[in-house]
Amino acid sequence: MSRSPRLGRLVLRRLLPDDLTAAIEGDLEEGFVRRLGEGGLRRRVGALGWFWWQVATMPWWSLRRRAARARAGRSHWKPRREAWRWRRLDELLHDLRFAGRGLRRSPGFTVVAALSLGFGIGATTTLFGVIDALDFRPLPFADSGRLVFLGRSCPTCSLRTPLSEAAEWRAHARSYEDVAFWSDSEVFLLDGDVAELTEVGHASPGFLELLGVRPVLGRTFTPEDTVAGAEPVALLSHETWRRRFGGEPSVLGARIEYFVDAGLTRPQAATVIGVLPEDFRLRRERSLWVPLSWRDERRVTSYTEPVGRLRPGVTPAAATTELRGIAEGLATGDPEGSGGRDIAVRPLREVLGLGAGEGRGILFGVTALVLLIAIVNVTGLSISRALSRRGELTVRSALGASRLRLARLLLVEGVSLGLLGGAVGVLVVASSMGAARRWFELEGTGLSPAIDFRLLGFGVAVSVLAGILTALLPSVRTARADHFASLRERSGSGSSGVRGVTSVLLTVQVALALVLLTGAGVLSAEFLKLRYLDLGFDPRGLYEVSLSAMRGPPELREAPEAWRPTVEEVRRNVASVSAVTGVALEHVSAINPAVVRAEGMGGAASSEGRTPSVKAVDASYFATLRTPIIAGRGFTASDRRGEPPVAVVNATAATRFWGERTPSGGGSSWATPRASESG
Amino acid sequence: MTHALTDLEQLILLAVLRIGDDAYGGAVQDLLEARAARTVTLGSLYNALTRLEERGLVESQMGEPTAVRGGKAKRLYRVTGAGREALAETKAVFDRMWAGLPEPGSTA
Repeated sequence: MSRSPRLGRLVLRRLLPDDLTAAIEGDLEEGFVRRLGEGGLRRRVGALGWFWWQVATMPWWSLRRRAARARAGRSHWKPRREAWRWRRLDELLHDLRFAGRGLRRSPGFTVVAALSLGFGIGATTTLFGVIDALDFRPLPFADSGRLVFLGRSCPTCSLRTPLSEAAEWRAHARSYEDVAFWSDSEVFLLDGDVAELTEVGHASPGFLELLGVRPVLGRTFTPEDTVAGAEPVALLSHETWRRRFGGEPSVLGARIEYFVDAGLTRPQAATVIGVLPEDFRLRRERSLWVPLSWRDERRVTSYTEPVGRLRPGVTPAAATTELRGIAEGLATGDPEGSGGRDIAVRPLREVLGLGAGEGRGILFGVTALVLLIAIVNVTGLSISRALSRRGELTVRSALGASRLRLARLLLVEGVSLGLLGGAVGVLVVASSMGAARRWFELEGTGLSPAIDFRLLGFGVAVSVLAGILTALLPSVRTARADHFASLRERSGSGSSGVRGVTSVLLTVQVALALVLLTGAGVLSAEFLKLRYLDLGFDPRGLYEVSLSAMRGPPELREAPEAWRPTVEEVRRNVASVSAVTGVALEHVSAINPAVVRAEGMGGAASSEGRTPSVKAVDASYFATLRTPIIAGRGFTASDRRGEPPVAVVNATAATRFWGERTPSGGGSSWATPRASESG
Repeated sequence: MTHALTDLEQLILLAVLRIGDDAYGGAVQDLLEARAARTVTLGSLYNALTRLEERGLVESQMGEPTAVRGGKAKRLYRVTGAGREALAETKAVFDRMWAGLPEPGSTA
């Protein structure tokens, strides 16, 4: 093809005045063909670059205007609809250029206004991104609005249900098109010599179909995969497929080996039957998915988060009522069970987002207020700027510009300013989104905000709105103003009226900013209260290294004492890291005392049906966690085996067990030198 | 009518004079690049040409369509008497300003 790009020629033909179209198009064609010469990639790129640069820099509006003027000089100008439309566009372009010139002429004002608007716009857009991801953006599952989690719940958590019970729910519930089960566990995948701890998802047959997830390669699980004695199969995540199998389609039928213990003594292998799509994750991405069998006898010991797809028209509330009824029916004759009181059916999105994005609404309010403050400030600046430009506006008005036209000039200038702020805002969003993800703990939810057209659209809308708001007052004033009166004023007596307006505006602006600042302050305090609950310890900079006897070799599981050298070695290694200021040990036992009773207080002060939590900790524990000792002492190195046993209780336990005879105080620890465990 | 010319306008008028009968946009653009080391986009070139035409310093007429131009005709420009006058006037201004000064580049 040796002709210049058709698109460029068509665009020009549309834009240029008739008497120049042919000449310019011909020049372009000629120049393009000559630059192309014999062809070849380099020449072609050069020719195309030249061509598009010529098209892009074509000042077609001014060529049109000049042509129209030439026509008007030659003949009577006939107002046609099209001409009128061009004139409107021409005027708008003129306004834009005027705005650009005006803003360039006062760079100080422009920079200050764009920066203050930009920070407000950026922060608001980031927060919108968080809220959108958690509350509005559709999940990457088919018809995700009808997907629900079934289970017991507390306000910030979701508890798993024994598979046996979940299977009963599935058998009896009528609210769902289908219910499927999933769960997860950890295994070690061998990567060369390194055993990598990774998460494995377990999915019942039909689970992926329920979510509308189709494998990019191969098939999903079928009921045959879960019968006893069936060949073990697995689905790979997209990432695992790419990393371990080089993204080769031949992966189907390959074997993948993993270990369920750190000692790598219990190997398991499965045949790869498929690869999952890249964007599939439930909270996290899991390297591997294996079938979850829920019909065999082992199911009694496994727990699951059942996922259901509601029938059209069924609400989560109605489904909850039904499920509670089923659970109560199952619970009769089982006094230990909690019945159905805390069972709920909740939208998938809500459960995935549990515990994340706390205070996002409040913080969004704060950022919106900050943006409003910025708008008020810029409005104030614009008004004083409009006042100082009264001379210029008066001259324009004297030259025949209508008041509306002048007002529009200022409005276009405001919108330009808003978009300039929006550009700054894009930088703010790009640099703050990572921090927002961490702050709102979105990483573990799989609901992460993305910087995409949706977010950009919001940002542009906010920018334009902010620009209009900053220009609204000045342009209304301009439209109302009597410019000839102002001219008289300039030439003659004082302008006390104008000065009065300025000072009133200034007062209003300061007052408004103060109100907004106070509001933002109050909201922030509310937010910080939510965020920084007194935990009784200082969570900042605390990290956990956990060792599990269950994963170790069998002999360690039998004799916990044998762990001591290993634990001591780990402790020494952690302490030797230069950034670590303190190390403490905590032993979490699988066996917890059922009842704690205070000596000399009779049976009255037991723990009243709640499970008390008892931990064994070392002498440096309280210092490392920065937990204050309200009364008595903490542990010392002399509190060892063979010495009288000691315990530290927290203030809640102290009040419950010893009542008013104990020194009471805020939520922390209280030491009693002599306490012994019972029960 | 004022005859003050911008330097781009001067260069364009001189180019049109130099080229003679076949002075159209592409040719002027090439000459400016080759002889005056000025890279000018077609847009600003035509902008200046129409402005000059408006001021009566050049006039134009359509030429014959040719194949190499995709069957499009050239718009051929010619410098008018007023155009030559304006060029002469501008040159005279510069000459007056230079008169009595040493040649640039000489040491005096």
